[in-house]
Amino acid sequence: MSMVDLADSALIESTLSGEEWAFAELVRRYQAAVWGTAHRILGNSSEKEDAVQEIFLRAFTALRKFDRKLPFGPWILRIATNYCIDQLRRKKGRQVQLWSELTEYDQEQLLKDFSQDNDWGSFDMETKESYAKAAQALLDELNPKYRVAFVLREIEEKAYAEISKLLGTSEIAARVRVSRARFELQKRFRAYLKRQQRKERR
Amino acid sequence: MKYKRVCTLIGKYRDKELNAAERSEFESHLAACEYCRTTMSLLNNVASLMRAEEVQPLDMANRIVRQAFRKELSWDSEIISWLRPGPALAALTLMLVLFSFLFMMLGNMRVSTYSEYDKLMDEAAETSDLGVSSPQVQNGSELVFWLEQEGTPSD
Repeated sequence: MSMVDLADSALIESTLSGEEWAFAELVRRYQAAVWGTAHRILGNSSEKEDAVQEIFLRAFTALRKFDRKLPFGPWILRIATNYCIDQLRRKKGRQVQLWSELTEYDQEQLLKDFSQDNDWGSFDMETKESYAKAAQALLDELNPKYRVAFVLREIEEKAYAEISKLLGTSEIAARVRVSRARFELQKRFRAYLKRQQRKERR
Repeated sequence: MKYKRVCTLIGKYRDKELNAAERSEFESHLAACEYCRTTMSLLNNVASLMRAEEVQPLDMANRIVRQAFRKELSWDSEIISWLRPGPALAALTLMLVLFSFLFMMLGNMRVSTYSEYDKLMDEAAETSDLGVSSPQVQNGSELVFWLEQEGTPSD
């Protein structure tokens, strides 16, 4: 049996017995997902690699307590989410590209492009990445607690019950935060739409 | 339902919490309302761009594993590892050996204290053979007092 065929629980068992290769395989399986979570919550920050490393080290330390009957993926992603929220609270690593740093022309252009349905799969990688950075910059403008709620609901597609657990709030408060984040994004759009309508009238 | 009221359903629509009738009403509304349509597009675009964003190609496994297993050898991990049955038994044996050794050492020290006392008594007895009265003492302090008395040159 190759390493790839081994179940997560077998890799955890071997890791606990001191097998370094087993933990390396676990990291390889989940590093992309953990990185994604860190990226979405921390934004265009340069601290993501350190965050990913710290998340896996925390998981490694807590591995003995992990119930192996449960899937490993949601567990490590929960550690990742909690860690990133904590980092946001400490306001560490916030070297981000801000929406307000973009020129007015770029902002208008991006909002125009975001206002229509796009098939991002047909875009080349470079263009898609620059749009993704702009989307992230737009999200970075939100209050961190609204942004995290938005990321968990709209991007990670988590249920409100889980979001409330992760945020340490009630389910109603989680709903309010998501709704508020949507509203803040709509507000930007409304301003853009008004400018567009004014231009069209002239 | 009023036009503006339908606009507020956008959140519930995105959360898939509308019933069939409400969903159908909102979808008809979307076709007519530019504001709701563009808002939906914005949210869809932001979410799908963030979701589909390429992950970093760097493999961090080796770096993380090195750190993790080095961290495991830190002092707190060492203490935890000592709490496992095997090492705990070894530690207990070691402690027993150490305490036995210390106990024996202290015992020897007590013997050597008594030897000093005996030596002093012998010296006192020898002095008595030379015509000096033997010390009639019951304990160490009396002996010291007696030696001071005897050691004083007589007038």
